[in-house]
Parts: sequence; C-alpha cells; structure tokens
Amino acid sequence: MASSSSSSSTQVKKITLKAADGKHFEVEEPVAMEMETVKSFFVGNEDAMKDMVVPLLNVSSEHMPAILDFYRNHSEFRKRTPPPPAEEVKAFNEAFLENKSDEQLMEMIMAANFLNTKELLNFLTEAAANRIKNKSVEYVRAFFGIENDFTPEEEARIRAENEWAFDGLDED
Amino acid sequence: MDKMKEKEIKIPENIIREILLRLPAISLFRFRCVCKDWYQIIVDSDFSVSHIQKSISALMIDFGIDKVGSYNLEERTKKARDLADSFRKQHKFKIDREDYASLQYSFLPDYHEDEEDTEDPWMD
Repeated sequence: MASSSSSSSTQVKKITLKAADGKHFEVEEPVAMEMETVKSFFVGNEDAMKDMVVPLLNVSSEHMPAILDFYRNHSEFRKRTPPPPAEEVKAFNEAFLENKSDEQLMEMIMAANFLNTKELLNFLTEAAANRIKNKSVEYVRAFFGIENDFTPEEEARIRAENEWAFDGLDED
Repeated sequence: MDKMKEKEIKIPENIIREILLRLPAISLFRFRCVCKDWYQIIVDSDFSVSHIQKSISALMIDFGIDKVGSYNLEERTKKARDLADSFRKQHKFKIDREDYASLQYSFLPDYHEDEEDTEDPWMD
C-alpha cells in the first residue's frame, strides 16, 4: 500500500532504524524525521546521518511497518496538490485501524508516544477514545488493564453523583 | 483484552490524558469511577480547561445526543441541565450560553475576565 510518489527522486536519503528486537528498517529521511525521537538523535550531528543506525529501544518490530505505512501515506497526502479528497484520507485511516485489536492499538499508542510523533499519536488516541466512549466502566477497566482501587462505598458514592452519565451505553 | 494486564503494560499518564481529552463530557463523568488515578485526572481543573478547548468549536460541549434519541424533550432537557450544572459546579465554569433545543451549552472559565473572543463560536 505504500505510496510510490517519492520514487521519482532516486536520491532520497535513507535512515536505518533498529527496533527493540534488533530488526532493521530502512526509512526515507523525510518519513523518519516525522518522529521527533529520531530527529533529536541527529540534532547537531548532521554528518552522522549516512551510516548510523538509530536504536528505538521501546518499539517492537511488529508495529514498525504499520507506523511507517501511516507516515508514508500521510506525508504523501500533505504534499499532494490539489489536496486529496477527505474521503480518501478517511478510507485510508479506517483501513489502517480495521484489523487492529485493542491491545495492538494500545501498543501502537505507546510506540507513537515513544517516537514522539504527534500526528500518529493524535490519530491513535482519537481511535482509542472512539472505542471506549459509549462503554461501561467495567469495560474500560478491562480495556486498559486497570485495577479498581476504590472501596465499594467510594465507588457507589461517585456513581450516585454522576448517575445520569450511565444511561444508554453500548453492550460490553 | 486482559492481555494488557498479564503483560503488565503500564500506560503512562500522559497517554491516558490524551485519550480522555478526546472523550465527550458525558463519558468523563462516567469514567471518574474507573480508578483513583482517572478520578484525579478528570477532576483536575487544568484538565477541564484543556478538555473544553479541545471540544468542537472551542467552547461548545456536545453531549453525545445521538445516544438519547429515544428520550422525550423534557427528559433530554433535564439531562442536559443536570450535566451542565454538575460541570459548572465542579469545574468553576459559568454557563455562557445554553440552547435546550439542540442541547448545546458553552462554558467560560469563571476566573477568565478578558475573554478575547466573545463572539458566539457556533452560531454560523
């Protein structure tokens, strides 16, 4: 699915990223520079770019292809004139999320957070919010693996104060 | 789903905040009782300011009315009032404008005196 719009310039510089489990990924420089964590690696060190491998200690290789796919497509969307129709962007975004489990989504959010990539982080946290917004408290605890640390009395009191917010939920 | 628990992935608070900021107000009231950390994040006044700024048209809160389609107008109005009132009390906001027909309210921080944009942001 990766776009081939940048293939016209054969001289695009590549940067090698190394995932937590040691796998290497060759990434076009502009795509890699979308990630602040990668970018900061080169600040004041521009000569190093050619052959240095950037270690990404907290990102498993499982999610790297999807993350790179997201950035390749979105940077192509941004560059295009006229801008792509909203439906095209929407279709890409929906397809991107379609087969991701809740667990995969959260792992990707952690990776985006570590990579400090705003656009992807915004997109994924929005997706997580959409998955939980109409769900019950119990569902949300399971979703995030959260232990309820309220006493039954405390929880009952908070629920009573916010009673009207518990109607019309989706099924778990 | 409980795999997250098994693997003991601890989700950093900044991520939880980012997700909560993208929820409608009604979900935030419900999720106060998820755990103590969430409660603290949600009732924090800086958080509510950020949440308001994030919501559509900057100062407008959408109550997720697609979920209350089955209620009659009276019920909806009461619900919206309750919601707006709790929000105002707990976060020191004053209600800037209310519109029962569409169940939309806008809030302004009570302490914010020189509000730059006094124009109604969602009239047009």
